[in-house]
Amino acid sequence: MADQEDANREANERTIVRTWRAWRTVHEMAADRGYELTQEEVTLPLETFRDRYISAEGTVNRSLLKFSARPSDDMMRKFQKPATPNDPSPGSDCGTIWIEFLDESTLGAEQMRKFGKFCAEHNYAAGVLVSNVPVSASAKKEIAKFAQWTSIEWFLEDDLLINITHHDLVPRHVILSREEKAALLKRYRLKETQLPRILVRDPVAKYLGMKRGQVVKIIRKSETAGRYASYRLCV
Amino acid sequence: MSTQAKPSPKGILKKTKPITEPTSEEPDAAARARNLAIYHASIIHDRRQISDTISDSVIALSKLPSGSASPPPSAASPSDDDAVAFTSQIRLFQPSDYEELIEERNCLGKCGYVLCPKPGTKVNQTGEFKLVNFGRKDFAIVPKKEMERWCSQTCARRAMYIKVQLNETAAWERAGIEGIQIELYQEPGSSKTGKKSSDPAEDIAKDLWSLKLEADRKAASDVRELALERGDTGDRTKMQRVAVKVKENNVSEAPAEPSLDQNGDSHRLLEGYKPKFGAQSQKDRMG
Repeated sequence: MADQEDANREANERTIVRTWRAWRTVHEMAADRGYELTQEEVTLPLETFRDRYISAEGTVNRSLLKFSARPSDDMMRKFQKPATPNDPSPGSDCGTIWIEFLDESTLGAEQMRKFGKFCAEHNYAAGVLVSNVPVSASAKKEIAKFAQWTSIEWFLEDDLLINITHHDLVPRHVILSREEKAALLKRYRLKETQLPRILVRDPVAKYLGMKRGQVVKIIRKSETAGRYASYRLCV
Repeated sequence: MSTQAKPSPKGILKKTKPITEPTSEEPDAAARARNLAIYHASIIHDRRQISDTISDSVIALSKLPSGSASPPPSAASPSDDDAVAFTSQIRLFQPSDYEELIEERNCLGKCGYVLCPKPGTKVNQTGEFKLVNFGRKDFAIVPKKEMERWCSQTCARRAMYIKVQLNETAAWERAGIEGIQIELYQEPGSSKTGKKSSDPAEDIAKDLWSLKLEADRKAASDVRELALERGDTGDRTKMQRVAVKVKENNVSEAPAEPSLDQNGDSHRLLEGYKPKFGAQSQKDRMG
């Protein structure tokens, strides 16, 4: 009996720590993408997390794990849409982001549709769903249907336990703005397709929320040159 | 001063006509292009709608069987409502859609067969593969996912019986065809395979049910015919794009009987043409 309780508590404890780590990584991700978050929010200690999000039974209360963030002015400027004669001052590609941890035990098409509808109705430009269970194929299909209103991304909690961009072997990735991309192509007299490529589902591309057609600058350390930059087109 | 007087330099290139000449045909052509664009757009729209219906069906079917029936239904004897919902909605599916439906059900922790109320099996081990029938003749290494799809072997058979009836052709090409009917797996112990079941009331209920199905099908086809008569064709792909005019060939005389020719040269004719080649060489030799 006591053993059973101990095992339960241990399992709970493990879940709490895992969820806390995912929660932190998701905040770091939002901050790295350029959304406005306070330092306190990004570096939330485990004790505070415990105080806020643990229910009376000692389990994680996933329904509380959700937040929205506004893009910073820098980010808005960077992802400005190109001006056209009809629309001299267009808006930005990015908008408020909604990040939520899945509160249910399954993630099927229905849950994804609900999430997409919620994001679209509340005018969130992007939505991130963090799931602790695998995602079905038809749920992934649902994402494309909301592309017109909001861009939905999903992550597995397991993939967010550590922040991959903090790893020693992962170089710095910087997304280029439209003007920077145009300047790069002009400088090297390239067509888009002549750039090396990076997949949309690449872990770092997913982390940065890259869209097809964006160019990322990868800055590596080099023994001979000090720093070495290469560019990848997202496909 | 002189610069002002100088005429503008003359180009050495050929004079080209302005690209767009306003002609009387142009508004007509523009309208035609617009109609064509709308026509193709509406086809795409219809296809999207059908694929939306399919994904709606996936969600609806992944929740079956509904638990409201008074005798709790089983995979072998599902409730009539569920069976009708299943067979009618599955008609548009491609085998790949059906696979997705099974995955969706597994994701919800259910057996992959739509009419089965049991949860799927759980394999208690970590790792991707599992050894089946170890030490026997039919030993196999099976992916764990494959093992967890069905609650039992019979459910797998039932589900696969449905799958082999599904068609690879695109859903929008099959959308209107009533002839496509999906049948449920006939349970080995059940009636209909010649011998009557012990309960005659059950037989009558089954017959009535099939009658009702027949009536529904008839009503649907009647509605469609009526719509066609009234001139609104729901299916845009069936609309004719080219006006077909049938022109009859006017025949004034009665056909003549074929006759043998007079000079007896007919054996040398090639499709009615008499080649000069042989005749020429003969003449040369003689001369």
